[in-house]
Amino acid sequence: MAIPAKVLPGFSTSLWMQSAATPTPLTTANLSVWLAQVTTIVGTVANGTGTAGVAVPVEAIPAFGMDDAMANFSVAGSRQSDKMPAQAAPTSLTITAAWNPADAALLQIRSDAYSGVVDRTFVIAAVEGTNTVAYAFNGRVGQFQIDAQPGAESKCTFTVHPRGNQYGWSNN
Amino acid sequence: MKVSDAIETIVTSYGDINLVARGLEVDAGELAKATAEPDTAEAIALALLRKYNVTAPVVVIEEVAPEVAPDTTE
Repeated sequence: MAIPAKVLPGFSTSLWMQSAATPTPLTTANLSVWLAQVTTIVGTVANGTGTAGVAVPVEAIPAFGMDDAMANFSVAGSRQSDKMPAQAAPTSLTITAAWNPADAALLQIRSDAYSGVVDRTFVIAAVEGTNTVAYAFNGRVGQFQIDAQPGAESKCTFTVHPRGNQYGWSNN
Repeated sequence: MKVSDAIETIVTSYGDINLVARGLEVDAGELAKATAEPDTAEAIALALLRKYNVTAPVVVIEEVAPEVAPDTTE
């Protein structure tokens, strides 16, 4: 789907996810639909909360998108070979959050990581004023570690692996 | 395939909807008349169907007989 042609100067980003223990992730087409779909997770108001969503208290939003993948072809006698873009896997998001054993979102992510087969819709919301641009994707949590070193606050680190092709952009 | 069925197939898919739409063949006339509310999954599905079911406009070519030059020889 096309990226919304809207520039948000000085925006802030946040991570949201479906709150149900066994959610039904949005279908690929619905990941690009703001009203009644993405808004059920991030709410209709900037930095609000949808009825079926919860904010994930992350330190920062990591890079997201797709990895690089290419095939290298060569022709005998040619000095240079040719690089052809090929099917690239979506970029996994390794996320760090302050570990709070009472936080519902982090407990749900830990539960997903134990399972490994729970598909859930995540939304990265970029907000500037009343404008929201949302990147929604379906993914599974594949790692969950708690780092409880005595010299610093406890942190948890987890990785969200997006499902291939299941993403969409929308905005309000 | 009916346009409504094709839309339903795309809307409920968890795969690559571009790839799904590419494999669906629908009636061009029905597709031209189909409408969907904006910011809905149906509108996205319809746009994809129109992208991959391009209908060429009908061009009528009239055959015109070339003008015959007057015979100036005697």
